Amino acid sequence: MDKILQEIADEAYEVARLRRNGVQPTRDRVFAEVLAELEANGDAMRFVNSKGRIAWKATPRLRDYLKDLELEAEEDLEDEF
Amino acid sequence: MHNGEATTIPLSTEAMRANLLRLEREWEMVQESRDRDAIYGYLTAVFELVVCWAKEGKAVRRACRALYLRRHNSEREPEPFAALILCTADRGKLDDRMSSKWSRVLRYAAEFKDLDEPLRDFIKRKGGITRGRCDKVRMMYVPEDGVKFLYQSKFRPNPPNSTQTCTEQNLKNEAAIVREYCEWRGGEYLPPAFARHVGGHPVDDDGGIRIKD
Repeated sequence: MDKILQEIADEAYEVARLRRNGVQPTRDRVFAEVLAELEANGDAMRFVNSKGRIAWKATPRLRDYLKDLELEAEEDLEDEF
Repeated sequence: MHNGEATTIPLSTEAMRANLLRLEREWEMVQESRDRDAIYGYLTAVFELVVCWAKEGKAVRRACRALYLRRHNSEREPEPFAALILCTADRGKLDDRMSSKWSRVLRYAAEFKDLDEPLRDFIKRKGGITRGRCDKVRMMYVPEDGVKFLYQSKFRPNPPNSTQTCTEQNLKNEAAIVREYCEWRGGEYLPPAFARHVGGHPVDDDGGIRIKD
């Protein structure tokens, strides 16, 4: 899993863990649900990595979106000063 | 899962749609670009998706689903690369000949390309899409552990309704390609049309030869 997706999945796991509804979800299950949802939204894609294993990465669309957000944030920061 | 294994995550219909949309976007980018290498972005996206499906053992079934979602009829088992190209490339701008050429190149890459070599580099190293080695070997798997293959060449000795010129040199060149393929696969079978060009091997019942018998 690439860095972007890892962060999203970690965050989802923390949210699920803190829900305190008596059910402790396993990390794998939360990750699987998050990845399935991201894939359905067009934000994650599976691929075969250089070791021949199936892995996940952010789609170009999600990368572009995050990059735009980053640029906007940088511009806002420059405007502040 | 932590290591990226994902075989337990099913591909939902929404996910299939999202994947097809992503490929369509790649296709649109190719159309908008003036870069002659832009096509490799689209082909890489198609290639990665099918290779991943194949790794999960569901390439043909998912290709059927993709065709169904895009309302294409498929009477026989679809070839996954061709099916995805059919589903995601604009038919008005892509003829059948080019489509089959691309899918043939991608099948070749799926067989021979190292995992960490970019598709574009591989195809270029093999001489490009239209004139390269990738386009010469046409493979179709048949049973027997998926190793034996049928070979169809545009330079077949008696190509029906073909305008291609069949020269001795063409056959020799292709024989070398097929032999390379056979040896790479463990030396299984060489079709009759090429048997006479490689020599030194026992001829099989049907006129073909088994390279390493």
